[in-house]
Amino acid sequence: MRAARAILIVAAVMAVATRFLGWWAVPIVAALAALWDRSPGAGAMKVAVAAALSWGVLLVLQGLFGSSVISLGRDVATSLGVPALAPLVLTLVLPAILAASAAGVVAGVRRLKAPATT
Amino acid sequence: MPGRRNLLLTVSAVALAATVYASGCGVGPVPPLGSLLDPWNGVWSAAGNAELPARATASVPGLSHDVEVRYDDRGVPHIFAQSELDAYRALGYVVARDRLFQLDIQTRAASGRLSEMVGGVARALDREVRSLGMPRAAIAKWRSLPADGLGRRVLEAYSDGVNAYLDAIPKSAWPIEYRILNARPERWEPVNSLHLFMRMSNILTYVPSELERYAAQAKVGAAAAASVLSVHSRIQEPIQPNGSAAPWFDTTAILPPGAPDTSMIARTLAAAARQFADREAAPRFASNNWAVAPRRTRNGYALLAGDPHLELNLPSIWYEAHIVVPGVLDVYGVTIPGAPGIILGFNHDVAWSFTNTGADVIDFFQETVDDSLLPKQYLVDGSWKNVVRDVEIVRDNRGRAIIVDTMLYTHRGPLAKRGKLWLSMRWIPLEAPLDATGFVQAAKATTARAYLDSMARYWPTPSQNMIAADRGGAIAIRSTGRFPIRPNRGDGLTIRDGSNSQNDWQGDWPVVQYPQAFDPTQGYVASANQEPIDPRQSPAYLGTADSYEVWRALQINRLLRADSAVTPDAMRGFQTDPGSVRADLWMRALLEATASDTANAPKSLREARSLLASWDRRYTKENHQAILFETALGNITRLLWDELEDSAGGRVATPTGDVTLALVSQPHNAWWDSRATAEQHEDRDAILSRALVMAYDSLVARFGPATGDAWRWERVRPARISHLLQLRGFSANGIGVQGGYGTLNPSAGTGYGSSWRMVVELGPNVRAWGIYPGGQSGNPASARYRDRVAKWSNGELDSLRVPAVPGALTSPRFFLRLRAGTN
Repeated sequence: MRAARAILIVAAVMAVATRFLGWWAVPIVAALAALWDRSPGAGAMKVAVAAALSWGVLLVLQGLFGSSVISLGRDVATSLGVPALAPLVLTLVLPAILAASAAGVVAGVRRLKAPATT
Repeated sequence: MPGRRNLLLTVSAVALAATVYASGCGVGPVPPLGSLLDPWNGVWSAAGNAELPARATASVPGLSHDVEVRYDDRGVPHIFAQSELDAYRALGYVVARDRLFQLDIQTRAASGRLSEMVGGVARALDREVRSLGMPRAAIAKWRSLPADGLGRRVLEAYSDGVNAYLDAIPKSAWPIEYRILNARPERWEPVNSLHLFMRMSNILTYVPSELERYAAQAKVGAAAAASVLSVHSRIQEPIQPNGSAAPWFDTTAILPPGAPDTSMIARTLAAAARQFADREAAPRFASNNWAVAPRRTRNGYALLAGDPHLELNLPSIWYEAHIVVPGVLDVYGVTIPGAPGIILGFNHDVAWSFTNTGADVIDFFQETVDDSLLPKQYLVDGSWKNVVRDVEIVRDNRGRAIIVDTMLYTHRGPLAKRGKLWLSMRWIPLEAPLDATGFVQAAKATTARAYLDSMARYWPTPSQNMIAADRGGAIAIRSTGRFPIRPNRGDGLTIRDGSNSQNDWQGDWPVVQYPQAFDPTQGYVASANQEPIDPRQSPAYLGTADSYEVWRALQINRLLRADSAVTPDAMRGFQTDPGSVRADLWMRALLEATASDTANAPKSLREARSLLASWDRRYTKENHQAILFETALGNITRLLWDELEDSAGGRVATPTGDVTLALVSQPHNAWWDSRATAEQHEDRDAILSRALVMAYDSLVARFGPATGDAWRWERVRPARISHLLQLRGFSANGIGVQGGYGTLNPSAGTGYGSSWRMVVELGPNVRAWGIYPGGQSGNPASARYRDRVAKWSNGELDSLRVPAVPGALTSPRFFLRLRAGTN
């Protein structure tokens, strides 16, 4: 439950930050979340899920208050010569990678600074 | 485990760096993924912005009073303003609201700066535009406009409106194309409208026929070239009625190909000539318009129809709007984004539409220069004049200079080397004053004559066959624009000696000499890019036959002669009428010429003949024979005019279809003989049979046997409506249409065609119908992006709503209030 709540909070922050700042808010929020979340292990995975969720929610909102993002995605894909679902999938995967790698860097630096254990 | 820690850090850092780089900078042709896929600010924002808000308010600097805009159910803005300038500010705003990217890209293309937006792929286009001197001329025209003149103030007002919209929107509201190109919109300058007018002039008047003629001379001699590339059309049904109730056919014999012209100028230009496409099959800009007097209409009111044939794009070249300034202006019609005014449309008294005149408004002069490599001076009447130099720098989308050209100019226009000759070009669009005064003033006309007189006063280029009809029952047509008078009343077919100023143009035609007709006895006027005046009535040189088309005019005249009680719906039906005089004339000849020895003819020929014989010669969507006929005619053109081919297999010139048809009555003319078979002597019948067999075999190879729907016209020759960036997902391809080349709806198989069909009935209350292929919105995610395509494809028209006051528009779709703002 705690993990789910953390994901939701990070996703909400990411969505708002993306809305006002743009895509680069994702790695920054992910890095901050990784700094905040000191639990070992699944930090990168959590922010990745949160990032995909945040952009997914924004997509849904665009479609909800505008026209279908599915058909727009299809038209964009045709225009760019990529598979029909590629823009949609990439829109969820890209923030996940950005967030996971940013969290990974924070975790890596933290471990590097931590005293070695045997 | 320091090794594992380092590995985790390294992998994460590399992944982060790579993803951030791809997101922020892009990789190769792929735009930056972050800004592209950002769900709020990237391509997906097009979905969120697909529809206009139901109610909106915005401020526009310069407005003297608030302006009310109500959009009807078709997305057409009805602008209610208190002054004309306020109305044009509002027009700029609403056009930008729906068509911002189109405004931008059109301007960049017209000003030779397209590469700045799309990169180096546009460098050839940018170079061509600049080499013609178009951006330079537009800027000079803008600078010469009087500060307090209406023309300038209208351009500035429109610019205020466009920029007010740009200032009002966040980045997330930029059109989707900017994400894909990783570009940003540019502020609108008033001169941009002049760039647009120059571009339209370029599209509609830049036909350097003399270069084509010299190249043909070098192949077949001057006499034969002049015979097949004739000045006048061989079939006459002119715009200015000639009193005849039937077309006139010129039966003068066509001279056979002769010895090549070895003169220096012909050889030089032949070597420098660009390759010309197959004229019969090549898509071309064209248009129809006609008006019928009350005595020939069922309701007793004048009727007018128009449909300009231009490149079909999404969004459309046209944007529909209605402008009301109480007591001053009440005009409805279509504007081109970037043009401050209604170009084709109607008010409460008059309706109007245009077709292209095809006048020759371009001439070349051979200059005597001081240095054949890089001239600094040129000779005129024994004195040396300085060549003006301009350095043109084309930049790409990263700001890098990709072309640096030194452009040269004489007092006549751009100076360029063609082969060994230095030629300067005089071209009306470069020197005629240009602004929006013409259509701004003419929109207030109350009679057809007043409309045409206003346009004759203010409209220099591109020359157009302007048709008008009014509520008083008058109908009129006039070919309007500046037509140069050459020395000694000569033609524009020769390259003149530039060292003698006597060879320069001597002025312009007076309006009284323009091709025109007011309320002719035949009870209708019509134009479809045919030769404006019957040469037997007026020998004055206006242009050459290669800029005219005979076929559609024949069909319009046939339809209008046959109907003495025309209705608005009949006018609508004519616009997509599948009949073709061209097919009627050719089919007779084709079947007769291939009839000999039918029993022993090859199977392909027998089957092809059988198919064609069963054709009703109508280009309906479901017919199976038109594709065979068109392919055969394309082959005939290729086989017949092989003498005009160059070593690369292209043709330096292609005679028009009426010349090809005229040769059918000369079966043994040497033009029919194929150069490829030196030992064999072909005549007409051999070439026509060969063309038909080739056509049949190629179609079977491509589509299979002519059974079922394999050769169905709408399937094999659909219209294409391409997105401005040719993006397939945002285009509407494969649109089945009724009609084809030579019919009144020549959209099939090309990306060109009827771009705005309009029918207006000038009764006590003006009624109007119209449609264009596309939709009002430039946003591909909008329901208003291509909502009219299906109706357009079926030849249907929408009823146009013309409310006199805001409250008269029932159930408006969107409201917009523009308030006076500050800079």
